[in-house]
Amino acid sequence: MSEDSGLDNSDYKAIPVTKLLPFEKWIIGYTLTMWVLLVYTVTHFATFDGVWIMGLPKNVFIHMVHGFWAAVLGFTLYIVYTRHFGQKEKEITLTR
Amino acid sequence: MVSFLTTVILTLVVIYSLANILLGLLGWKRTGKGKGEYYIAGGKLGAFVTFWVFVSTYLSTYAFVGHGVTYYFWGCQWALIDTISYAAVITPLTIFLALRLYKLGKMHNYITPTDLIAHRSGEKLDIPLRILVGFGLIFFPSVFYVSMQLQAMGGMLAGLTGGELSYEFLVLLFAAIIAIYTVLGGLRGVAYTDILQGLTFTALIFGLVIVLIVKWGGLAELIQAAVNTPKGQEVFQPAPSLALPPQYMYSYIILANITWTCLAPHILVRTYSARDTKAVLSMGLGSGIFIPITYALVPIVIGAALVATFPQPPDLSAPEELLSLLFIKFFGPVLAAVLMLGLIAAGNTTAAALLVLNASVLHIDIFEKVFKVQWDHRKVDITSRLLVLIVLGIAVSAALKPDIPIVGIAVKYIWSGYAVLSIPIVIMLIWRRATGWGIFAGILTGFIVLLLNLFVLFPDWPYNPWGLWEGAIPTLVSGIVTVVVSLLTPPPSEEFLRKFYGE
Repeated sequence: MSEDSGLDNSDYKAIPVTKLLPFEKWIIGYTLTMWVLLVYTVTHFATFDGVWIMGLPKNVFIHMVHGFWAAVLGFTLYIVYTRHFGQKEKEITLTR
Repeated sequence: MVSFLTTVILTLVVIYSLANILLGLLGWKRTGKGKGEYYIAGGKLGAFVTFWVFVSTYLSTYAFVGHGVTYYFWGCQWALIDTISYAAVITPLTIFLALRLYKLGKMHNYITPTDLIAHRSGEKLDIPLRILVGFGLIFFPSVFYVSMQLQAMGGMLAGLTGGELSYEFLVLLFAAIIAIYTVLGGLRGVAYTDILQGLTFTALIFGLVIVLIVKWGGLAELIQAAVNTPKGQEVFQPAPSLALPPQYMYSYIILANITWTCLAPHILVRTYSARDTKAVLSMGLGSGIFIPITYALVPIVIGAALVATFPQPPDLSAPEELLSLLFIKFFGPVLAAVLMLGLIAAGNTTAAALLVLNASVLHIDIFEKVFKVQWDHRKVDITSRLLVLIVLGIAVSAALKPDIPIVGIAVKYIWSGYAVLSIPIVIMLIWRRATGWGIFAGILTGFIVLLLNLFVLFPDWPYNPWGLWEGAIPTLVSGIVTVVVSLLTPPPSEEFLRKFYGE
């Protein structure tokens, strides 16, 4: 269990609260796009109308696509943020 | 004389509980003195522990029991809106908000969610906000949330044993077990048990999903079998009486789910207990990958299996019993008892996290800040543990009246309360012009509107005349009032803002 290592936890200083990190405008853009798509999805796919996609009722298929798409996005965000803060750590080490 | 099955269930519960108590003991050994150590593990939990604490806390009995049963009774559109919520709201916003909360928590040594809100609002409003937010919007709904976990665990196991173990006995048994390891180890004890509980839940829920799919010869075959039943027609193509209006879906997806990024109080404090950015990002990973997959697959498979197996709803004392009937039918009683451990794991983790949170709210927000009680370390340690027991006692008394399905309780009381709180938190995080009076007025008005809607103005679901999600009007009012009152009152000083935001 990785705890109590005595590491300096001042890495929070690199986090802006009221300003955006460079890549976060893309995340906001993505989120707004998804909200448009969700309006379309809810309007068209919330109930099953007899259409089957890959052996699944249309609404179930859409449901699963959303879940997996959220997972892909989640992993991408994790990598982007980790690289960003990893880079900050490297810069701090070099400065020291 | 109890049956063989009941003996097996009791044995499994005892073994599993002993393992949790041992981990609680480990937490106790490693917990130092003081309230920060007890309530947020000293802010020292690393990435691995934080990942499992976050995932385990998030995956309550709702994920294991509530979702599949909701799907059966209310139609599959509930599953659809939950996964859209992840793609459109929860996943993109989780890390964004969690990192910022983490920074403020570390800089200012916050322990409760109210610490953050009261600090940003200024000294004048400290006490009124701690009473309103700490007691009204965190303590009150969180007690229901603990009782909901106990209800699900008690209801399912009572069903599984055919009533040989009474619901009341089981609620008390689980409450006692949770009390032991929570009282012993505080959040650190809870965190260690969360690793065991998270792994147990994951192994059992995905094992269950795979077995159900294989039994029907594939996911498509399982769903086809469900659709072919009369109940399936109702579930997949809800009748007008069951169909959710689109405005309900939109308002639920956008407003209710902002809470579930990381702003639900027991999840928000996880950002305080994280040791570094890596630990916070591990929360994002859990929220981004693990939970959407769980929500995309598990309710569909379990819900379809329920529909295919029970074309007509059997007689049930609680809706959640349906799942135990499914387990017994397909896996036999002994394996069903093993599967129940997944439910116990899910319920334990959420209940324990909420207990620690509620004890911290009573301790810090109410006793220390409102009543100005100051104790030495020894008294603090004893008080913290005593408060856990008091909160649990209240939750148990609520759980002993299980007349409402757990999801109904959650949606009606808990999520609306948390959502009313979330919007002002987001506004004060990102908008420098937000003032203490704006935040206070927003939260107070939202809270009053919530109570009026639920209990006075619109006593029937969805508690508003426009078909919106039940928490939508209070949440919107809370946000609008926060902004308007902020604009009408003097802005906070630049010096205060620079200190608060750490610039």
